[in-house]
Order: sequence, then structure tokens, then C-alpha cells
Amino acid sequence: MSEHNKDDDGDTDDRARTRIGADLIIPVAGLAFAGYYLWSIAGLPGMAQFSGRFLVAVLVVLVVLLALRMGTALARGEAEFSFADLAETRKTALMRWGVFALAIGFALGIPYLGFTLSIFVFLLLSMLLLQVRPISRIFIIAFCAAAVGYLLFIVALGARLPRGPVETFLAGIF
Amino acid sequence: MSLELLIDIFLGAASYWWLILIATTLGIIIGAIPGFGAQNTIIMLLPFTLAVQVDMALTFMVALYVASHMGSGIPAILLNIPGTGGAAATTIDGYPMAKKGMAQQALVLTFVASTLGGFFTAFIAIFAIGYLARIAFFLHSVEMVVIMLFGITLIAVIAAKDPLKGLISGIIGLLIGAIGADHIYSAPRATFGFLELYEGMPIIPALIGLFAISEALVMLEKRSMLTAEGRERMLRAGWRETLEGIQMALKRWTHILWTSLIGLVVGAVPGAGASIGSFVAYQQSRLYSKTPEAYGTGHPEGVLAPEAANNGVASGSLIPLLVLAVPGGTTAAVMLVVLSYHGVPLGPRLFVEDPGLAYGVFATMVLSYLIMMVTILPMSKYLSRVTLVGTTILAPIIIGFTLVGAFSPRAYIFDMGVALTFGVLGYLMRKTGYHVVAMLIGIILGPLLEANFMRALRLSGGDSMVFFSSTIGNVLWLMLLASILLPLYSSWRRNRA
Repeated sequence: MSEHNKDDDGDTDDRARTRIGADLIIPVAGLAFAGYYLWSIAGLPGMAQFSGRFLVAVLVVLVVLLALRMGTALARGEAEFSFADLAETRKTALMRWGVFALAIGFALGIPYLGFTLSIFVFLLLSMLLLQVRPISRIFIIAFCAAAVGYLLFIVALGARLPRGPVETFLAGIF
Repeated sequence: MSLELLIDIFLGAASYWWLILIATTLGIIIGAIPGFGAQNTIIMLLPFTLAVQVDMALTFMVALYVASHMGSGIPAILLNIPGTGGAAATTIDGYPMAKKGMAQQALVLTFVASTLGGFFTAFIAIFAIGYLARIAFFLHSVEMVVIMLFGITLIAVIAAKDPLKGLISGIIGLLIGAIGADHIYSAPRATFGFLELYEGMPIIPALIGLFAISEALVMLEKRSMLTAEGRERMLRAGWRETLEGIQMALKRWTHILWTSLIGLVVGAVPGAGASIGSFVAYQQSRLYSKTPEAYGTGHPEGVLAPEAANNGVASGSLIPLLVLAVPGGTTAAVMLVVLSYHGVPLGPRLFVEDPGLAYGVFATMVLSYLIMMVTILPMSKYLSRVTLVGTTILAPIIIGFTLVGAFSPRAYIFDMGVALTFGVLGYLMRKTGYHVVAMLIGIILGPLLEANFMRALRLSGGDSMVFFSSTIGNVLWLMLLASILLPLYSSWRRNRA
């Protein structure tokens, strides 16, 4: 059974133990992955399939038990089928998934822009999206974070991070 | 070992105090950044360690290694993001303490447990290294399977409020951990066609996604990660909170010592590592606690146990390296390369030909902990202020830098994608009451359990009774059974009372 007020480690709020629906996402995704896993090991010798089959069997049993628990709660009227746990306001959704989209852009852009420039751009755009103000503050934070990252990872540690125009320019100076 | 030799060894190590200071500072920083583990840093700094004298190189590597173990607990407490898998158990009670405005006390608990635990186990290692090294001879695949199962039982402990969901998370984690080439036939399994997954699911990107990215996504729902009361408390916090943390830790000094011993023993087993050591210590701490129900809500002992064990593992994992020339973990493997380059005769010969170097490792550890105690404790007051930073600033910084951490170990852009995917998975899990910690345990233990399980089965010709064929294994089975039944019995007694 699900809960819409919980802390980050899944602690439940007893007042809200009424919504089930969103709870099914993880088990269903798990079963879908288990199905794919079984398909991928279908041609292997028996011993190579053993652990995978065992884990899938245990997962199926556990998901059935969860489904039974949910079904019982629904039948007793102690729960309602709802995905409200995942509901969010338009503003929060825009902020959260906007930052996530920027993170995807950051991962895709880092090979071309290099570490320093791409982290600067990512932090700048993310904080703009999250309405951090004043804008000068955003510039200062993004610049300082990128500079610290450059000094720590590239200068001090020599980490194998993608080099871009900023790294090339600075390497030419120092 | 004579007292004269012991004093000589300590004086020799102390002459490099400046190097220890540099290495511990660097180690704490890299330990606190997910993805930048000690092994990566030592690899990056190979030009230095290969160029200097062997005792200097060893001092630097050992000090950096132990400091990274301590540093990994800092983000676990402040941001719910463990720097390494060894600090994942610290998040369970450390982060709830931080949310209540007790980040400073939690950090002090971490530092005291780490230094005291590491200090104690390093001393024990000096005198008991010969005996501890033999542990590896007695633990074969069968015993390792039972030890791994000990780890699996932790899932039920961690998910005490909803064991069913905890077990589902853990089993999915084990299944994810079984991605990649199988251990016998090397046939790829569930790799989605990605060559990057052939070696298995990379743990660092998975950890970053499950903890850091998902935490940042959840964090954006509120302006501050602190509760209103916690914020008030943090704003008022001063040096008194540091002293309060020290007092809390010292009152539980025996707790620190015995949980650090768990870490030492687990660390001495090649391949086991800090992730298992800290979780086993957490589980045992809860098992023998008078207040098991307080665990997971911000209980000091829930911070002390995994941190003491995490640093106990640091001492233990160097024992098989020095005595058997078998690296106990990835960092020890990198150290092996450096020591071999310098022509150091690892194994029993080392203790005959150059005992100063062999025991010097642990003397360096002892000194590193002493130096860290002095340098890091006052920092807790300032580090804890991170919790006061608004989530609109923290979240992008967490996502940006941890994604770089996901890229760092293998230098694959693909791994950043893995972290983002696990970020969404972790977000959904947190929102629907599943446990990211339980899934992480599954992902970490999955490949280890499978490898040992298959090895034991193959050696026995497929006879499953092999798992009950050794005395040590059977004793471990009994202990495992007790650790499952004892909490049930205690709970039943409490209900009756």
C-alpha cells in the first residue's frame, strides 16, 4: 500500500495509507525486466540459467503477495486505486523535469563543450529555471562551481574528463 | 615484535606527517565526491607514487585511502548521498539526523567513529596480522555465500516498516546485479545490447542515480531540506553541538570498538569490501540494541556502527595485500601495482625482509587517524551549514557534479545515462515507498553472491548439499538463522509485554 507523505527512505505516514496504484509501478517494471532477463538467458546451459530463474521466481512470489495484500485492502474498502502519489503541481513538474532534461543535455553536450563550460552552462540554466534570483547570484555560483571543478578535477587530480574550448584555452595560457 | 622496532616504525611514519596531512585532506575531499574513489585518485596520481621512494608512496596511498573512507560519510549525512558504497548504510540514520537540524552532531559521530574505529583496528592489525591473514584460508565459496546472505538479510532489517516492498526492491537489485556476462560461459545476459554492460551493471553510476539524482529530484519539492524545527536548530548551532556530538560518541565507545572489529574481519576477506562490512555492522548493531525501533529515524548508534566498520574495513583490506599479496579491494589492487613496480616483495617475505615497511602501513594509518581527528572535527560546524543552502541551488550542483562522478571511473558517457536512468527509478521508488538502499545492497551483492554460489556448485558437481558441508559454513548458517529469528523473538516478547 502506498502513502503520499513519506520521508526519503520510504518511512510511511499512517494517515495516508489509502492509495494504491503508484505502488505497482516498481513491481510491474521489475516483472517486465525479469521477463526480458529470462528471454536473454533462454539459450544458455542450465547452470548459467539457475540463479536468474531462481531470482525471477522469488520476485514473482513477492509481487503476487503484494498484489494479494492490495486486493484485500481494496476489497475491504481500506484503500483506493489511485496514482495521486505521483501527482505534482505544474510548476513543480516543470522545475523537476526541466532540470532533468537539462541534465540529459549536459550529458550529451559534455563531449563537445568539455567539462568546465558544460557544467557552467548546466548550472546557469538550471538555476534560471528554478528561479534563483538575482541573476548575478546565479552567474557567481555557476562560475565559482565550474572554476572549483576545473581546479580540483582537471588541474589537481588530472581526471580523465572531456576537454573542450575552455580547457584548451587555459592549457595554452598556463 | 620488539618495543624498539615498534617505536622506530612509528617515528618513521611520523617523519612524513606533512605528507599525511596533504593526503588525508585530499582523501577526505575525494571521498566526499561520489565517483571519485581512492582507487581512481591513486591511479590519477601514479606518476607521483611511482616517482618517489617506496615508503613515501606507501604513506601517501595509505593516508589517502583511509581518509577517503572517512570522507564518504560526509555527503551521506548532509545530502543523503554516500560518497562510496561503504557509506550507504550511514544514510539510513545520518540523513534523518541532518533533517532534524542535527547535521553537526551526526558529522561529529561519523568523525569520532571513523577515527576511533580506524585507530583501534589499525592497532589490532599490527599485533594480529598473522592471525587475521589466515581468515582468508578458511573462507571458501560456501562460507562466502553465507556471508553474502547475511548481507541480503539486511534488506529485511532496513525495510522493517514494509518488508515486502523492501524484499521486492532487493530482489530487483539482485537481478540488476546479475546483468552482464555470466560467470561460467561469459554469455551476455540482459545487457539491452549495450557493450558497456557486458562487465555488469556499473555500481558507481547506479549508486549516484539511486541516491544523488533521485534525492535532488525529490528535494525540489521544498525550498529547504530541513524541517522548520531543524532549520531553527541549525541557525542556533555553535561549538556546543560539536561537543554534544563528541559526548554522544564517547558514551558509546564500546559500540564503536565492536562494530569496527566487524569491519576489520570483513575487510580481511578478499573481495568482501566496505559495502558489506558497514551493512553487516549496522544490522548487528540493530540486532543487539535495546532500542531497535529507533534505527532509521536518526539514531546515533545507526551512524556510529557503519562508520566504525567502514574504517575497520580500511585496516582489514590491506592485510591480505601485505601478507598474501592478494588485494582485498580495488584500491588495494592499485597499491599492489605501485608496490610491485617498486620491487617490494609482498607476502610473508615482506615481514622478514622489511618489517618496517610492512608494519609501517598500520603505523601510518594510526597517525592518519590522529591527524584527521584534529583537522576534521572543528570542520563539522562549517560543513553542517550545507544543509542551510536552498534546494534550488543545491539540486543542480548535486546533479552536475555527481554526473561527472558517474563518468569518472570508466570515462563512458554511457555511465552518465545509467545514472540518469537510475535517478528516475530511485525517484519513483522514493515516491512509492520502496527502498533505494535495499536495491543498492542487491546490486552490490548480486554479482558476488552469484560468483561464489556458482563456484561452489561447480566444485561440488552440482550437489546443493555442498552449502552445508563445512563446519565454519554451518556455524555461519546458525548465526544467520539467529539473526533472522532473534529480532522476531524480541518483537514477540515486546508485544506480549
